[in-house]
Parts: sequence; structure tokens; C-alpha cells
Amino acid sequence: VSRLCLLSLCVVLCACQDKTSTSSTTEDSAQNKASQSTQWLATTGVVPAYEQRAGNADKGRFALLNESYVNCGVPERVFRELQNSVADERPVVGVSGRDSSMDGLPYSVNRVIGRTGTPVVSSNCLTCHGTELFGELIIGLGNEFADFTQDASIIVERAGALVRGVDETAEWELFADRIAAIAPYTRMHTVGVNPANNLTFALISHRDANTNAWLAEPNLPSPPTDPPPVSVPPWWRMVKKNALFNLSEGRGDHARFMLAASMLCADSVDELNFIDQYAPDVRAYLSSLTPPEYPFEIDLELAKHGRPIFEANCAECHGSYGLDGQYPNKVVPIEVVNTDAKLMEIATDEVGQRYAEWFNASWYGELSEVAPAKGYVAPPLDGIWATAPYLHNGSVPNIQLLLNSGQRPTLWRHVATDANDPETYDTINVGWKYEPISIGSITGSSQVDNKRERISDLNDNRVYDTRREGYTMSGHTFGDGLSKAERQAVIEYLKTL
Amino acid sequence: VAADAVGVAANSSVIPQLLGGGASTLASFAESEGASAIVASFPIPELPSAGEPFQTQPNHRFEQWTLSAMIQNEGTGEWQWIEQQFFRIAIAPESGKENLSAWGFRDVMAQRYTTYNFSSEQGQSSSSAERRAMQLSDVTEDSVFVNDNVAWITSNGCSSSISLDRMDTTMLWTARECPTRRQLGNTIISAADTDFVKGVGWLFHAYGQIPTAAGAVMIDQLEVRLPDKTKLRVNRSRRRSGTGPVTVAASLLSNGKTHSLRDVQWVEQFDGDALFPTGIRIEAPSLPLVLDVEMPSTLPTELLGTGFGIQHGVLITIENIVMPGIISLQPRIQEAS
Repeated sequence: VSRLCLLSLCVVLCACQDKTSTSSTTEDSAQNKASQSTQWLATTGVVPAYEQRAGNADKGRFALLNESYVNCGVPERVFRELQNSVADERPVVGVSGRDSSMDGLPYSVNRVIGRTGTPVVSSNCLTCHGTELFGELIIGLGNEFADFTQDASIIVERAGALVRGVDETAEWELFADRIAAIAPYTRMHTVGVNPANNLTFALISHRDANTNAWLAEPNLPSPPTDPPPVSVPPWWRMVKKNALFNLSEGRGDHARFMLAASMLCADSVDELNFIDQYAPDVRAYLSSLTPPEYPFEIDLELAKHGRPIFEANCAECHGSYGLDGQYPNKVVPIEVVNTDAKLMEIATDEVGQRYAEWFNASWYGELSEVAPAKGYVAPPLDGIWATAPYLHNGSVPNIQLLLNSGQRPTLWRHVATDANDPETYDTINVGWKYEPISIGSITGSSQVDNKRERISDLNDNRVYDTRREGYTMSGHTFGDGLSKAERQAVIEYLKTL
Repeated sequence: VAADAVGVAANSSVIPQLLGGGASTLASFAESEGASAIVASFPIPELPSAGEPFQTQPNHRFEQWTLSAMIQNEGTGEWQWIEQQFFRIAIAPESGKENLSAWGFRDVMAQRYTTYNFSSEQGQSSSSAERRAMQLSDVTEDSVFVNDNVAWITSNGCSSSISLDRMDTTMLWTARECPTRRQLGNTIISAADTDFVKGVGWLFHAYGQIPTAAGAVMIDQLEVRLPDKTKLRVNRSRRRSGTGPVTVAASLLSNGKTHSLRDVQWVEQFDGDALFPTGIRIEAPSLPLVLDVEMPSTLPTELLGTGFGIQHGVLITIENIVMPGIISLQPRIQEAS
């Protein structure tokens, strides 16, 4: 069941990921564009604010948890049958404020009516943007334990074995066909990271820009089959950020961007317009979220000592905090931040440009615009303690390592399988506990006698291998010059944000 | 012998007959293995009624129990793979049963047993289907005791899972599995020796609807122990409509863990219009590994009422080693006329 959630949810995440908002005045985004062959790109530096459509946060929460913005999925009967089979050992975690027809369903899915009138279950945004943190559902906290390492199509195809009748089969086949189309482009090497950007590209390649109709065969080049990994950012950053996504590519109306969540299933502009009616409400709700407080003890004296160190070394990009806090909304050039460039390269190359042109020419582009910059947004750090692992690709397990690049492990294994056990949280280094792995254990003998060990390591999807393309832990060396005491003080201060 | 052990000295006169193979023992293995029939039996331990996840599920018409174990002869150090499976389809509601078995005898449709010795590279498989095939037509139900605790290990430390949640199982029905390996120790009595063995094993319990009775997708499955004793499981899904993707998932099971493999290919050979293939090749390039599967010369042992066939003991060639495996196939989808 959780896998069935993940696959359609991953569609949701691409749109909901790192959405931001602002109520600032509109500026001409073209001012931020470079010229010549990179004219379609945005420049690095400060991201301007864009006017956002007003919305009602309460209505937005209801829509998020009830509405049919992903209107294809697994027949409800099949989903509940599977869910009930394991309910005794995997209690369903629900969420308040839902229609009674969703009683018993997990918070991460919505029950919607399919094309045949058959109720189906589809993932909602919370599958990636909701996490049970120490036993409490935190809406907006990115799920850093989701598993996208399996072939989504295999999972959905097997669900078909439980499908019965003409209507259920029609609903399932529509969903399965869509998943089959995107599955080759959404499989990750390790748990915790997701293929959001790649997924969006794959969906765009199957959509007509004018009608939004689904195309059985892609009409744009396919994205790479090895997706660049993305760590799911928290929604509570939205209130501060001017542009969506890591590359600041989501400019203009953010609510319209969010409707990319409907790219899997919505097959017409009319459908999109209907969903668009409540999209501003959802954006308003996401912008109202705040981070959870650090639940463990904080050395306030040490944190007080760390604040000026942070402000001297970090605030220029990440902003300052407190009542007089300011967030600069900066995109740091890739040659400065020097973190893994794969995500940026794919989005800004010629193929990326074609996806952007599709978007900007489509219904989505009527109110919003894709314009990535060649760099990464320095995000606000509110609630950063809860968002480990770090960097845009989740390659660094904790803040201590984020501020000390020379100590980062090349290979490491996730210890925790979810965010519920406080014992798996490292309060010293701030992040989820991990196991460093020696490189030799992975690249061992190829002799048959050792095959089992070799195979086991190679196929351990809990291992983060930073040698992989897109998965590197390079860059962000700005904390290397701090002394150990200074670094610890900064970390203590970050716990208070 | 611990209470949770598997295979104690015979305390049932019937079970050894079950395991003796009989009429449906695959001819190919009878020839390759000779007459060294293995006689193993299962305990009826004095344990409380097994709870979840091993309790019989009366609300589900289909049920399958599989014990997969690697055991080592303490005397010779030789390793042996044992796979035991009971298969049940409820034909009629149970009523008035007084023994401890929640399985109606009439419901036990098949049992299969496969063993492979890695040192001698010899395997054996027996397969019996239906009451008559099990050579039990002359016994009364009261004398048959298919205990709920057959191969019972423990429910402690086990977790519940469903097939769609685990790439390594891909069973279509609700499945509950004990992922934590259990230490086993017992006496195996063969025609030649009585040996003390120890090892590890796990129990797999699947139940639910009859998977092939309807459903939009059919599943084929192959299992084999690789020479390094890792278990390889390959599953293929096909839409009944003949449209859509044919997906193949494969995983290795070792040390109590499962590991998914990518890009596994499943290629079949058919003889004319036969519903089941005569040969299958599995290619797992990430290992790399090539398996050639030779189906028995006997007709597919299609299970009545299910529409698919399960065979223990199909010959699988791996790196020049020929060994038995287990395969479950659904018939070829007929092309639309």
C-alpha cells in the first residue's frame, strides 16, 4: 500500500515541492534574464518577488486533503483490501478535516471519483510533504525516508491482479499506463531522495502543450533514466521564498505551478481550470505553516554564542532570524556554492530548455514561468533540524558535516527507517543517525564465493553512494573555516530556528 | 530440539507418505536422484494455537505455506536447501472439525518438497496434488493431521507485509512473512543416515483470493538457490488483456535481507500452441547471471480450479550446475483471433 502511495504521490511531489509564496509586488521577471543563448535562464543573485493570488488557508487545507487534483489511481476497493490486510500491524495514520468517505484511509491519499464513477485512491501531496515526526504528523515536512528505489510500474502492474470488473479495470489501466510511461525516469538509487524534477520532465513529454491531452508517445526528448536526486524541502519555507524549487525556476504565480501535481491524470484544460479554482487556497495554507520546535534540550547559552557567528558567516545567503529577521532570496552561483551540479545542468541544458518552453507556452505558463538560474537557492533555515539530510540532493547526513566538508562520508547508510524514533536522531551533530561504510566493502571481490556479500552491498538501497552522478556531497564549504567550538555553537543556534 | 524446530522424528505415519512423492514425483528427478528418498516429518509441538501471522485464515479461500531453509549437516558440513510447501484451496466451508487442524483435509490440494545438496550438486523434488495423488485416498480424515503448526517457527519478531509492498515477494495475495531468520536444528532421517542438522529458515504464509480466478494481471514466479546459497526470486506480471507492459522483478534473499535487481529479462520458448513454455531463460545482467530453465517433460501440473501450474524441481542450469528450482506459471495469453 505504501508503495502504491508513493508512485502517484511522486507525481504530486514534483509540483508541491518547495513551493514558496510572497505577497510582494510584481516585477518583470525578464529583468532577471540573461541575454544571448541563455536568454531563457534567470540570473543568479536576488530573486524578485511575484504577486500571488489571494487564498483562504482553511479552505486550502480542506482542498489539499479532500479534493481531486490527482484524479486517477488504484480502485478504492483494492486499496482498502490491501490496507486492511496489514492494518493490525501498520496502524493507519489519518488526518483531521476530511470527508467521511475517507475514514480509514491514511493521510497520504485522497479518495476521488474516477472517470467511470468508480472511487479510486490517489496519493496527495502529503505522501512526500508529510512526515510522522516522533509520532506526530507534521504537514509540510518532507519525507526523507520515502522509497523511490523500486520500479513503480512493477508495483502498479501487480496491483492489477486484484482488480475486478470492467470499471475497475478501466480505472486501473489508465493509471497503470501512465505509471508505465514515467517509471523508467523515476527510479532512485537510495531511499530518502526523490525524482521530482525528472518526473515533471517525463510528464511534460507526454502532454500536449495546447490541450493538455495525454500523448501515448512522448513528443519531447525523454529525461535521463538516472534521475538527479532531490531532498524534499519543507513547506514552511514558502512564506519567505520568492521562487519555487532549488534553481528558483518556479517564478510567477506559485499556485499555478502547484497544479503540475495534476499532470499525471488531468487530461484537459477544463479539468485544470476546475482545479485551479482552489489552488490559491492551497498555496495560502502552505504559506501559513510553521516548523516544529526542536524537541530536545538546547544549550541556550551556547546558542546565544552561536548567533553572531552564524550571522557573520551564514546570514548573507540564508538570512537572519528573529523579529527583525530578513531573508535575502538569493540564488548562489554554482561556481560559488559548488554543490552537485547535475540537477542544474539537466534543467538548464538544451533539453531542459525545451521542457521550460513547453511549460511557458502551456496553460501553466499563462500565469507562471519556468526560468532556472545556474545556481542553487540558499534556503531559509527555519526548522532546519527536522530537514536532514542536507543539501539539495540529501547527500550530507547532518549539520556538523554540512559545516565541515572534509569529514563527509563517501558512503553512508541510513539507520532509521522513519522519523518516529528519537533514539535514531543525533542531537549532537543534528540529523538522523547514519553508518559510514568503507569503500572496500562495496567494491569487494567478484568471485562467486563472495558474491553474496558483494551483491548485498551493491543492492542495499539504504546506502547513499556519493560517488554516483548527481549524488555527490561536494561544495558548501563555508563552514570549513570555523573552529570546532564555533561550529558547535552555530549548530546549537540552528536548533532554535 | 527446540520447540520451534522444523522436522522432528516422525510422529505421524502419514506425513512421510506425503513427502515420499509417489505418483507425481517428477520423472526427471527420479532419474537423476536415484532412490534416496528423503523422509522428513514435521512436529506437532505442544504450543499454543499459532497467532498471527501464521494462523489459518478461514476467510480466505486460497492459502499457501512455504518453509524455505538452509541447513547444514553437522557431521559433514554439507549444506542443503529445503523448500516445503503446502497449498490449499477451500472447497467447502469447514464444519464440525474437532482436531487442532484448522485446515480441512479436503482442502489440502497439493504439497511439494524440494531439496538440494550443494556439495554433491544433487537435488530431489516431489510433488503431490490432490487427495488421490497424495496416496491418501484410503485413509480417513481423522487419521490425517495437517497441523496448524506445521513448520511453525514463531510469530515473535515477524512482521506483516503484503506483496505489493515488497518487491521480493510480489505474491498477489496477502502475504505474511517472517523476515527474521530463525535458527533451526533437527534430525533429518534419510534412507541412508540419520543426521543432525542445523541452519536457518523462514516461513512464508500467503493467503487471499484465488489469484487467477479473475484480476487484470497474471503473475509468474520462479525461485532458485544460487550456488552461493542466496535465493533468487523472479516474478513477471502480464496483463490478461495482453496490453500494457510485461514487468519483471527480481530479488535476492540472503542473510535475512532482500535486494532488488534491475533490468532482469525473462524469455520463453514454446512448443507449438502449448500453454506453458518448454524453456525459460532468465538474465540478470547486474550480477551477472544467466539461468536456463528446462521444464519437465511431463505435462504441466496444472492445479485444478486455479488455472496455473506450480512445479517444484524444474531443472535450472546455473554456471554449469544443474539444480532444482520452483516455478509457478500461468498459461500463455492466447492471441486474439
